[in-house]
Amino acid sequence: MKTRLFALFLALLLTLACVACSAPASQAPAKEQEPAAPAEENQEAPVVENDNEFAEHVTFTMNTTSDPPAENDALWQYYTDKFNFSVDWIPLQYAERFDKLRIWIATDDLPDVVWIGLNDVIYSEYVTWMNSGMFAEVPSLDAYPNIRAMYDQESMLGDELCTFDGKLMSLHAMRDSAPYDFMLNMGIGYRADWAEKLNMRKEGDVYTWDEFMDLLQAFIDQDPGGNGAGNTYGLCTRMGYFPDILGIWQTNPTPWTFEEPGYIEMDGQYVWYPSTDSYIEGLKTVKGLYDRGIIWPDNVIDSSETLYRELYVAGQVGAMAQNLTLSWVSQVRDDMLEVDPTLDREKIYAIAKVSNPGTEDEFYQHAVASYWSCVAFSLKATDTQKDRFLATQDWNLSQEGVNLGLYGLEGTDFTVNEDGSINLLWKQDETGTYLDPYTFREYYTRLSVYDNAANFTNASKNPQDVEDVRSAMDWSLANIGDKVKVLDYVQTYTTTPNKDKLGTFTAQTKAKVIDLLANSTGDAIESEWRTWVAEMMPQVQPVLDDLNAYEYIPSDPKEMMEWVRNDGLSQYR
Amino acid sequence: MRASSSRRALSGGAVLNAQPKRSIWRQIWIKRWCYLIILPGMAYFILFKYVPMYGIQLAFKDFNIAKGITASPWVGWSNFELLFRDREFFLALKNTLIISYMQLLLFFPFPIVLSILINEVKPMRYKRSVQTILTFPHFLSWVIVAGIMMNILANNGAVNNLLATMGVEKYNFLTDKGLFRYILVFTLSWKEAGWSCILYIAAITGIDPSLYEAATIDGANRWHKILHITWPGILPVVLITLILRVGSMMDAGFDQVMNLYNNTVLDVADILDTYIYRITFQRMPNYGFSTAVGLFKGLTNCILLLSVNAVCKKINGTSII
Repeated sequence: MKTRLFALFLALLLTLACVACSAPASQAPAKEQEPAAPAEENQEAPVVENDNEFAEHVTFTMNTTSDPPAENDALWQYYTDKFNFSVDWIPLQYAERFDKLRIWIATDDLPDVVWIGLNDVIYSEYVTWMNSGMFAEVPSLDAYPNIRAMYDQESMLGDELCTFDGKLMSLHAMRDSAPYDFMLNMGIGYRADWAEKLNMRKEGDVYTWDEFMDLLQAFIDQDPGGNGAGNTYGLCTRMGYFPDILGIWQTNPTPWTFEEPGYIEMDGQYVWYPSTDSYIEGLKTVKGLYDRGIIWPDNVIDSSETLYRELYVAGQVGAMAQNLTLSWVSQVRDDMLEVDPTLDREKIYAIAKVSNPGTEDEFYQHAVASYWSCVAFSLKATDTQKDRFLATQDWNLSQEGVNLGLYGLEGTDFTVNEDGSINLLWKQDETGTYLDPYTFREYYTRLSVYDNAANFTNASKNPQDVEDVRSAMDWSLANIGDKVKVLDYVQTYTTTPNKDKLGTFTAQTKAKVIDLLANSTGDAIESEWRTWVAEMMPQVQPVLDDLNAYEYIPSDPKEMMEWVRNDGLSQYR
Repeated sequence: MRASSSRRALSGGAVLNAQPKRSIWRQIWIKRWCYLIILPGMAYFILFKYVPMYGIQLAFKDFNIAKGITASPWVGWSNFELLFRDREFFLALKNTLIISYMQLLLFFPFPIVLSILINEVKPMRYKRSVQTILTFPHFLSWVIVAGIMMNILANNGAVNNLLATMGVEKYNFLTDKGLFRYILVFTLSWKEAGWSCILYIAAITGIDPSLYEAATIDGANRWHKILHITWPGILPVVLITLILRVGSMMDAGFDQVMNLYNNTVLDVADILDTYIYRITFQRMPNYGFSTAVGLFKGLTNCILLLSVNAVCKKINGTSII
């Protein structure tokens, strides 16, 4: 009897194990993840009465690479009560956003509402998916006037990009960043306090390429941070932005592509950018820095996405290149001051304006698309789910929604002064920094608009940081604004058999760059690069042939945007 | 007592022989508890190993995600033609074989030697402590091991900091193509040798102690006992693990390589599994092509397994099939 019971128990156990292991990923509840910091205990959600149109409670699944709002966040509760909905979050690591999406599509397991980190890595696939009917059409935007108005901005491209056969297939999160449209402030933050110590700081933090590299060399040699011999590094960045963000735009063709090296128009024809002389010049520049020891040596092997930042915060690196957004700058400064409160906030991560190595009067700036990411609906999403999601996003774009997203509830979290300015009622710490009582605003309110510029009027932000970042962006706009181009929507939002299958060879290019930086010796990098390019060309050429068969190859951004507005894309989809 | 048992056995045997042949269902019913235990395992293999084989046809199709597997058009051998023209594939194949052979030559004998050495340790408490300490790293994931290696060997890692303290120039161990494969073997040995020992120690434990006693009486020393008693005693187990290892030669350790490699050592580190992962999930996915690579790998493993099995059977009579 014992044996039989044991056998039965064992069989049940193994069966349960099999069933447990085969549970689809989308069923993994968000609650299993580490929750975001809870709101203060005394914070209670105000009671909201639902409008009649939201009488039916709606739940949908949705992926996110950010921390989902905590279940007990008072503002999130207010928001979900107002619209009578809830979200089963599917948390993702940022680095796996494409992998997981591909798996979900391949296994027909998409969330109801799908956030897509749309950029050049995935454009061709996006076009294929939308063309193939893998996603559901977005309902007419007539019922959502704020979203409609957002897409109707004249300076931007919006729904033209995501309309296939007359059907709107996704919602792009438009960048609301006037007057800095199409300009993402990429650049280098550095230890101005160290530079002052060495008497090498320049007025306004404006440096020529050579001046700045000499400064970094001095950081390494003279060790103003007192780290000890061999323990101070010059320049570091996140692997994904390496090496172009170091200021060497030759390794990323700023005009006409986005984020990664791809195909660019030259003399009316598309060419593969890594095969150009300009790219090789950039590569040699990076190699020179790497060999001099200015670039943090582990940058070529760091895949952690965080280690470079930790090194900078720990005071071991003289400069760090990144997106110079307000939130990034503030966070770095906050973290450094937490380690050492005696440091000077303005000087620990000052924004350097460093000219390009090839042209001393030009400065690195990244061109961006008119949007950041998009949201689409899976085929299994119901009309009610779609409507509820769109209703929330439409409200997010209203002034009431914007204020809720930025500050919270009027009367409780802020009041509006007579001149329209905001009087924030949040608690402040001993340094005067406002303490955000909510976990809510980080994600959900930014799904339809990426309001980077709005941060400059955000009363909760540190005034010093706002001033520093805004002045850096104003300086960029004044000096190089006319040189910042926009994304080549023709190349990226169209489909050809070979482009769809082979892409831009970005991963291979990046891998080879990093390999040669670490392993090539001296001047051999140029010949080794050319050899590799020659080996790659048989694979690349079919894509170029496809692209060059287009009747319209853009050479002027304004003309191209007009072409897209006039439905030019449809002929190549 | 003994005579009585023998009679029962004989009588039982006669009765069994006289019985008509039972149907297969009847036999299953009689041994139903055994089959019940087997059932989940069989279900696992059917669901997760055999049913997915339906997808093998992707290797011969131009897979269109909207059309699905069945409706996608057949393309014959074109995915394999693409495969055999791909420089990265041959590089990955070469690396897989080299890394697997290095593991076979340098890692495979390690737990065998280790288990024999542990067996020779007499104080039981010390012996168990050593075994536990050696087994522990097996329970660390490769992500953790990779993190430890980064902390030890990176430019600002422990070794380089020690070198800097001694006035020696720092060295980028993790970007050195010549070192990388040895780092793989070293980490594998550190992590898995203790765990692999368990099988061999169990085999050694099963050797009749009277053989050692007789050898001691005959004047054999420790070396003689290892050579003439322990080694022949565990040889069948060694051969079976060898067959299984060779049968998975094309699996050079995805988790390990994936976590330890980086772009600077891709030329010597990219194995078939990491290659499949990259072309499927980190680039523009071509599922037909990825399946062709996977099928090639699986078939090669199968051929290797059958070959080594046949050789072992011929030489020693030990085999798994």
